[in-house]
Amino acid sequence: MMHSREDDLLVIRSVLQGRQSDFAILVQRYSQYVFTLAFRFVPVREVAEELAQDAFVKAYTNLAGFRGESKFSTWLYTIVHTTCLSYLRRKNNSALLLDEEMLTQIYDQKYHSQPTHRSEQNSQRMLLDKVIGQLPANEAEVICLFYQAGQSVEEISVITGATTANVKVRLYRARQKLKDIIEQCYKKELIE
Amino acid sequence: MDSRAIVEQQIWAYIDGECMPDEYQRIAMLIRENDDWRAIHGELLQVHEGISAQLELHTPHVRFSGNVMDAIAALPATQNARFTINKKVISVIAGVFIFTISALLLYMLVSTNWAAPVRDLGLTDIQIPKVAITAQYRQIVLNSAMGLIVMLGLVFFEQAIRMKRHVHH
Repeated sequence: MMHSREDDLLVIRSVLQGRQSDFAILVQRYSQYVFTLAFRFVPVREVAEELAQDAFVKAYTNLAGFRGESKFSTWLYTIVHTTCLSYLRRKNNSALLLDEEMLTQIYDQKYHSQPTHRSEQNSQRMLLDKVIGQLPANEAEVICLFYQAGQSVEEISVITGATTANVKVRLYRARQKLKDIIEQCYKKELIE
Repeated sequence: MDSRAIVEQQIWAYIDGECMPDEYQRIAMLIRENDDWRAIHGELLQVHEGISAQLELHTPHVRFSGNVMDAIAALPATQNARFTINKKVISVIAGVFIFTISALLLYMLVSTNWAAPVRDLGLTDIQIPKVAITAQYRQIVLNSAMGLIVMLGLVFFEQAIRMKRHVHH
């Protein structure tokens, strides 16, 4: 459920006036979105939770710096983005640092080495989630922000620091890959 | 990029509402009138709706919110969201200091006897006005200062209690 900008601003004002416990409202409101986004970067539950927690703590300590020029969610996801990116850079295993060719190779290996029977066992929902999990981090992030977190292309551009044209390209590529998978699934279902 | 990819990109922009009104009208017309465009639009819309409907959010551990709030409560006071330095206050304080120092310097420059010999800085010429403070006046000032100190003490005490209560909440 999306919350209005005013709802968030009221809570933020209250926190800044000293009611620290009110920050829990924002945590509860956005924990799923923040966790899902972190999970798209690092698909290890414990690490994603740690990153999500870290992002919330950073958001709290910098709350006075939130000017309300963008939505709170956009501002928060920017923190999640930088937190996850810093983690991946530290770990030096970021798909974002790889070039496009390598990303495609990773994508192809992951997709096409998957045993088909495993996909058949899962529901479409789980399959889709799994497929998104196998996309390069920058594409999975864009899909998550656009479809799950309800951010526009402009807002995703602010969060990721990429140009709107670049965001559109990432979104196009990610959807293209998802489309191929969905089509393959439908074909299999029809044959069966 | 092949022509199908170009068409797909335009239709995605149409589906996402990311194109200008005139462009939107043009694509809408093409979808209505051109079979190829209509077929591609149907395909992409199915993908779009499939992703929108089937993507689910992941849920963190049940203790997640509690852990975040515990981490926040453990933060030092300087990292508290409330700990903000008002730039206006700093500007006012800086202004007062600059004004005082400038006034003092100006007074010194004006009252200095520049014609005096080097050894005699003319400090003896500076007349410090004598303020006649009566005992009654002194008592009022003392009482006011005491009252102000007690009030400030109470305000800080109240704030400290409130902060402590929020941290433990």
